[in-house]
Amino acid sequence: MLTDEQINKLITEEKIITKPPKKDFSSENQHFRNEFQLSSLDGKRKYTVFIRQHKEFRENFSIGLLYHSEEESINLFRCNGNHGEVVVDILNPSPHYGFHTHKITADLLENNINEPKKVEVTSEYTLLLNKHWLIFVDM
Amino acid sequence: MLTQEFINELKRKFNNYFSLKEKRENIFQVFAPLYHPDGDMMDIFITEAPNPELIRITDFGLTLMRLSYSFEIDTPNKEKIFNKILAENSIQNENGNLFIDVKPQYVYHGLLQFAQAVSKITNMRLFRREIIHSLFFEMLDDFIMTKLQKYNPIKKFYPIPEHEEYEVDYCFNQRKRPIYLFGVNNNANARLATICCQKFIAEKLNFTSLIVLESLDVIGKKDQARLMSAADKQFPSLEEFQKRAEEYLEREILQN
Repeated sequence: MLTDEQINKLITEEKIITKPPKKDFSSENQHFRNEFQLSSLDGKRKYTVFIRQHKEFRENFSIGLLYHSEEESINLFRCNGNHGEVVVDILNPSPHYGFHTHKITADLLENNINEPKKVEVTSEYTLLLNKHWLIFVDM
Repeated sequence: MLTQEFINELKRKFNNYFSLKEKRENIFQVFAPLYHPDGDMMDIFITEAPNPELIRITDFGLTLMRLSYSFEIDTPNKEKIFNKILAENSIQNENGNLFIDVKPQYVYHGLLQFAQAVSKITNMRLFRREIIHSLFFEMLDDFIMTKLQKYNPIKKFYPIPEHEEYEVDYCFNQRKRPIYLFGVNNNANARLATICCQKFIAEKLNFTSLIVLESLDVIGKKDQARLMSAADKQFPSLEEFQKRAEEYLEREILQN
């Protein structure tokens, strides 16, 4: 079971791209998609970054980091656009709006929850669009 | 399309936990206590239906976009499961847009029905293990017939003429000593593979037997022990086989 320290290390450790993203996003259903594969510097840990953006609602986008352990894939961290409402506790909702992130925690994993339920509204990024690419700008 | 009376009625049915916000012209996003497990509100919209007497409840393709983060509907069996969920919930699918068209007085019912379906679809990835178990042979076949095509695999091979009871799942026949591959994901087919290998040995056939297990925990210890005694090589999982199959086959071809 991963600790919070291990989770943070997985998210932040230096990685190398083992399979780069395609030059152009591909079109699938009503969204564009791209992804690339990474590994830790020593090659022992494998990751995928997925990128999705709705074709019409450009504010509906998602960029996430998957960690592939031997047993399963865990969505460690995800950046979302300003797509609507998000709550931390569904049974005690205090809705947030705006750009937000999702993160998995040790507590969630210990309770058999693989969903990145730790939500934080963020102003760390906004988005500019250049054709099909997202450009993140520090605010 | 949406009168204030209509909106007030929906609000009343949701005990006031309901609002509509115009996302784009004539597209209204539903704000209601309908959430995904990660806390994101479900992406549900109300818009005009082609039939002016009806209202369309739709997701504009956002459910499948969310599902695609870590799950692909990329086999006939997964498509079958997906389509079954849609059919059971009266949801239609147009280029990834999921929707139902309802009469105005049934929008509340339609929203709950739609939310149920969205939840089931996005949770398809949770059944990965179970899905993998039932899709093992499909995935094995897909891998062998695409990635190992250059080794000319033959499906359903019968090494002993007129004895179709001894069937090999795949034969790689390019060498003096062919490789007979058996996929195993339960005790029954483990025993069949064991019986076949023992029969071929008794008949003094020249072959190498290769077992691909779905995983180490799908068969009991005794069946595993018997299989290990009878077969020449085992891969403990489909993933391991997918990683090492080419390397193994190349080595076998060089040696024989």
